[in-house]
Amino acid sequence: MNDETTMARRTLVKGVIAIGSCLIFAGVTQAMPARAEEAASGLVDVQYGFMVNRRKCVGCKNCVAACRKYNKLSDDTPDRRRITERFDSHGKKYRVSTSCMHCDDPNCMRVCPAGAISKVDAGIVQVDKDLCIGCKYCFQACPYEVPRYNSDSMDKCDCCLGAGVKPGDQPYCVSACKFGALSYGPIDDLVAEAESLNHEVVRVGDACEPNCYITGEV
Amino acid sequence: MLQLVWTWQPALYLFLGGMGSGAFIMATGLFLMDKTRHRLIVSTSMWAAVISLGVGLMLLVLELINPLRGILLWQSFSHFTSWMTYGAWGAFCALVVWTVSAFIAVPSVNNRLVEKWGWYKRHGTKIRAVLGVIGAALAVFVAAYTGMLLKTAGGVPLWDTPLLPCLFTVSAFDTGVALVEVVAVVLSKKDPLAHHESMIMKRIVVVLVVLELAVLWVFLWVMLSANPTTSGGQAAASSAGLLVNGSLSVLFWSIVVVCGLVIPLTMAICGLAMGERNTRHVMAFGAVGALVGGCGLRFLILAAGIHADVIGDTMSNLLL
Repeated sequence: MNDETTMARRTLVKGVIAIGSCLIFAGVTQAMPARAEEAASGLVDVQYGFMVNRRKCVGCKNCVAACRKYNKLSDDTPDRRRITERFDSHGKKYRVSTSCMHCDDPNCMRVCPAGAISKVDAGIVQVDKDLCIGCKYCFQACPYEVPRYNSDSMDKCDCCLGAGVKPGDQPYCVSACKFGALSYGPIDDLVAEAESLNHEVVRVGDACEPNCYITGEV
Repeated sequence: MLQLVWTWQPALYLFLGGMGSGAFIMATGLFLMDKTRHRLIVSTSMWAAVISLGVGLMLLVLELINPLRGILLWQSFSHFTSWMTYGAWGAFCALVVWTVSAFIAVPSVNNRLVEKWGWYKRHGTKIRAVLGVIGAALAVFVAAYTGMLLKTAGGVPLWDTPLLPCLFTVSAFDTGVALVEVVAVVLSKKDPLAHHESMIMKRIVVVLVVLELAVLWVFLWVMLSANPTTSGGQAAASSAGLLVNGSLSVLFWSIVVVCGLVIPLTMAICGLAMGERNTRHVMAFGAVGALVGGCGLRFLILAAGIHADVIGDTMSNLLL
């Protein structure tokens, strides 16, 4: 083997390594500032959340239908909002309507390898469908089984941001509830208001510090 | 009710990734024990490790909703709060190092390199040893990661324990040794396994199986005795119950415990007792049992990983 051939091979190998390294570096640096910017614009000053009144919810699913309609959910997209039913000791049925809890410390955001999930204005937890790879790790991470999947990506409640509602404004599910069972607003205010009326106020769970409470007249 | 969001592809990936890791470590061990013997067993085992991990990663990519986006490693695995990110990069690095190691371990390639390249003739063995150690370190990481992936999810009580990475790591080593044993049996005419190494491997199997039995027992005991007053505790106990005496119990006891632990342990002890005699069939039987059991373990742990009904339990507590 002559020296020129060896030199040419070395140069080729070095070139391939250099180009590969540059591509990877460029990809990483391109992906990172985008998320840093997003985080900077998504400063969470006031955490918004949902309050559901177990005495007012009749399980009519108007909230589920409104959510589907206004967010233009495709046929292969599961409902973003679900009704949970339970009976009391007298056999009376109670229901609550829940969706994403927009947690203070969302597991889904932590485990997403692509960084597709972020916490934006009003503490809304949102998924970037252009980054989601659909690994379904967020489902395994969410204690409330919120993330669902269609043929494109993960799908969940974003308080109707995708439907054009501004952060902090009423999502369509709340507007659709004829019985006043669903409330949405700064979560501390909602809790304080319910407590001032001497209503029961119970957080749906502890894991990830969810911003969804069940309330009802005592 | 079973966990059906992650089904056969992730389960098989967890098994293949772990088995490949264990096989690479065992193959490197064989090489380091005697750098001149078992060349065919070492190289074939290393290729088996590469193929296992490669197929596992391919299965994982195919399971994604967006496989094409998934292969853009630098974009789709760039969020370093996720163990999946660490796992993807770790597995990628392992695949590279293992492939190079496997390639230069091929006897004909190694001979050619020694003939044609003076520098390699002087330093080749050292290079292979260094690559083997680096590959083995990456293998330990990949083996542990298969458990960490589930442990750090955080939403499934059965998986939310450091005992799971321990269980999967021990099982990875166990199945990896079994794969090398299968390779050794298949290649027994071309490259017979030396008695010394054969005995060492059987001892390793005994230690690993006993360790795995202990970890599995503690894991199930912890889960079954979880606090029943919490949603998480109830879910953990229900999940473990599915394995011990529920709908998955027949599969669990027959495949994981009998096939994957009792048979390999019995065969390894028999092999040790047989001493100098031909233990090929005993070794093969034990190894196949270990592989079937290790694969079943991943499938069953995934299937039993049910979520807690947090909202329903909160409602029930309210209505008491």
